[in-house]
Amino acid sequence: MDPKFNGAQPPFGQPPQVPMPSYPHVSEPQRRNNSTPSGRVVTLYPFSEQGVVAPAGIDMPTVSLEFHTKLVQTLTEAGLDVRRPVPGTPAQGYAITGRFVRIDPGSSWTWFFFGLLSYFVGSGALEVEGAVGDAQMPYAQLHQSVKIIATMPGFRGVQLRRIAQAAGKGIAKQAIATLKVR
Amino acid sequence: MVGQFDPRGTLPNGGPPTGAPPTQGGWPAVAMPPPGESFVYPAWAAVPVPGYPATVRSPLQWDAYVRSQLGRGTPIPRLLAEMVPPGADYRAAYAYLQGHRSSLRQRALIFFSIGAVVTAIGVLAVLGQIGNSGPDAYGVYKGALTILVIGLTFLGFGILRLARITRG
Repeated sequence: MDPKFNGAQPPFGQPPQVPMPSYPHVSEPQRRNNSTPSGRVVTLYPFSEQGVVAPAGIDMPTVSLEFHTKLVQTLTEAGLDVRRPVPGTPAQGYAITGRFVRIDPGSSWTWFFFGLLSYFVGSGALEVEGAVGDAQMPYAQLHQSVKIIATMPGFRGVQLRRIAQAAGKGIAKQAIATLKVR
Repeated sequence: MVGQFDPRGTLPNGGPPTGAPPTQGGWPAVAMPPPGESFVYPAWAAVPVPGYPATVRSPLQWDAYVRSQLGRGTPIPRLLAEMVPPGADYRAAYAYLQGHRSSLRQRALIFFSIGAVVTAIGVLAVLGQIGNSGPDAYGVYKGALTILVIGLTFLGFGILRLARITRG
């Protein structure tokens, strides 16, 4: 064996080892924080009902209450410190904002005709959009559209509550996923 | 600690420190109301939401609104009057409405087509049973009738949707 290549440097096939450049202005390497966003402060603004497309007779306060309750519950279970905004003060930590887009309980008569197939025909839906970021700029857009089979007559309230909870959970999961990679 | 982080992720670890107690940093600690209490009480609902002007519909809300209105047969000039301020160029809004209208028509035509095919299969199956007197004839006949009813239902739904969508 050639003593010139004593195992430290291969004779061919690979370029010579070049030390990685150092960045003196960064004290530790840049990396994303993929851990659970536990303990982070999140200011949750109430999701706006302005401009929501909903038929008359929808119990919006109940839908909003179920949505926000599930949203806060899911965020809290993930370890986030959820707070409500204080008028006149900037958002604390991260901010979650949003609005309801569409609430549709579905057509009752399609339930009679199609039953479970009414998931495809005349289904009910709840659509929510939002953003997670700080007080200055959003990092990511949130969008959750939940679809259900058309509501049975007499069970509209139950279905709407369920769909609102599903939307709240979906939005919370999206927000948590965004915060994990920030 | 909490008040010093840069939320845009420019810190080496990409975000705020975790596990910070909520009372640190000089911010008021405002706990969420426990679940079950109202999230829509006036003091909270009155907080202006950044980035969401209260009186402006978002693009998604416009999409949902336009689709629901076109599905009910609202005339396009009425929607245009609502969307475009007087004197402004309405061509972009008109193209936007036409796009949604054709999308709704396509969806209704899918139901119509599925219904027509299934109905044809059902009719053929029922006609095929004429003169069949085997031991399973009645069961097959009931199955064929079921297919026919399902096909007619889809066909009727498609026709109803097509009839209700705003005409161009």
